[in-house]
Amino acid sequence: MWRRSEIVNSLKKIAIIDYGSGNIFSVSQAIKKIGGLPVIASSAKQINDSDAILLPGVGAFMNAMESLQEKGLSSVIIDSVRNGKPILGICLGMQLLFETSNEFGCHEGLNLLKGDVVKFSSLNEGTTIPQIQWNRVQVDRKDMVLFQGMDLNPFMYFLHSYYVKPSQEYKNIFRTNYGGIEYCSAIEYKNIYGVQFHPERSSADGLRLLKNFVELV
Amino acid sequence: MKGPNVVKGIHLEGLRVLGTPNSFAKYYYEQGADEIIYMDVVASLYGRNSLLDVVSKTAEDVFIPITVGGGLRSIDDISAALKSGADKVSINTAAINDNKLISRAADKFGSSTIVIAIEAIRQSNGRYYAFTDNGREQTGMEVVEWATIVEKLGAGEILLTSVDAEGTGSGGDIELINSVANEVNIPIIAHGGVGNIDHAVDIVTSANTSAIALSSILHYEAISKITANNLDLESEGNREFLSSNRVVKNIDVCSIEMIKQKLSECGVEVRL
Repeated sequence: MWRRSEIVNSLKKIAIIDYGSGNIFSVSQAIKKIGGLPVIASSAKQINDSDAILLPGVGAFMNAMESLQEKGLSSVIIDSVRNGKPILGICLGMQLLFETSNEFGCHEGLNLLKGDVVKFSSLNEGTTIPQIQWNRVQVDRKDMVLFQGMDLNPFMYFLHSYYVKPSQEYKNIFRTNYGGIEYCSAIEYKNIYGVQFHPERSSADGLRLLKNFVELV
Repeated sequence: MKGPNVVKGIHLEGLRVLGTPNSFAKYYYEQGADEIIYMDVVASLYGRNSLLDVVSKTAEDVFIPITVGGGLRSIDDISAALKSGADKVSINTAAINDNKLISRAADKFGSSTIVIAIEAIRQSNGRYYAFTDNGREQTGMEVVEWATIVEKLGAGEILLTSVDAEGTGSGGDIELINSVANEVNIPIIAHGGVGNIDHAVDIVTSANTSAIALSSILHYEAISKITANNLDLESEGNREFLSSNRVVKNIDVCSIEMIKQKLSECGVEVRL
């Protein structure tokens, strides 16, 4: 018989970064559901003690970055990731992984990935902004981490007006078509993962993606 | 929702108790719903905490977007709803009373989090006006005018209810939906009037809408399937309907699965 504390110790500790705004509750419920141990993290110690970092995000880029800096979390995140700790950025959290955003002026991000965050523009006539819908991610192969074990081109739930434009030739970029443009909706690079959609709100396939991330830790 | 229960009326009035929100949400999630909308119809009378408890409970085992509305009046209210597990919030009265709330909320939480609910009632002159309080209070503003204002202020989405059609099962108001869709560039969720599968297909294929919100047509089907329909017996409410086994006039009940199947056959791309 395992004691409860031993079981808890064996679970992967996922630090869900709490920077004031964000749908932390649903993210942590989803991590629980797939067998991880969510830790709502707002201190350097909690991040350092974790097995992986999950950077969720709802809200505005500038507010989020300021809040991460004020709480002294941005440098901790950057150091941990540079030392090899896996990170998954969700929605705004994915955008924060990049260099700069032009949302309400130009702002610097965490600079873990090369590229900018830009607003949807020049979409087909009648296309709404924000994109608020289920949409397909073009996944045409099965050798990637995040999309293991699901059908090709899965539907995920999107809720955003801005998207990332990686400037470097990253090998593992997945795209989504919205209003005639094909933009980067998921990226895998070394220990850094980002998804523009919300896996915690994307039903069975979304949960599977989170499970894939937790299991690689 | 009213207090701890799911309720349904006609033209947003005459509410009948149908069951607990969690049991409905879970059933719809398993059936392939793309989103759950919780609308607390009498939030001001019952207090908000019960609503937020229901949201948190739902977020434990429902992994699709949850939109919460009813009685949210301030940035703090919105923040509390999001912390409880809501992904988006829907605002009507508070936005009418204080337009700036929309821009403040959009700045803080992002446009895509802020849904503005518009209750539309057609007047004898053929124009649609926006109402609040479940279609009881006239705002004096035309629906299209209000829709363009909320878009400018940073709303991310419009939940457009045809109060005339709501609960009647007589079909959606396509003229209303298109009149708004032609003037705004944010997504619209069309609500009200779907009484059978063909009505749903009709709205999706002829109206310029991003989504449809359904209640009667699904709720009356769901109550026959939800086994653990644990009603809160301590609470008040008209539950005669539940014990009577009556069928609802004009509502040809069906499941989300059936509707999505039909949409797919009609060439609409849906998540099956």
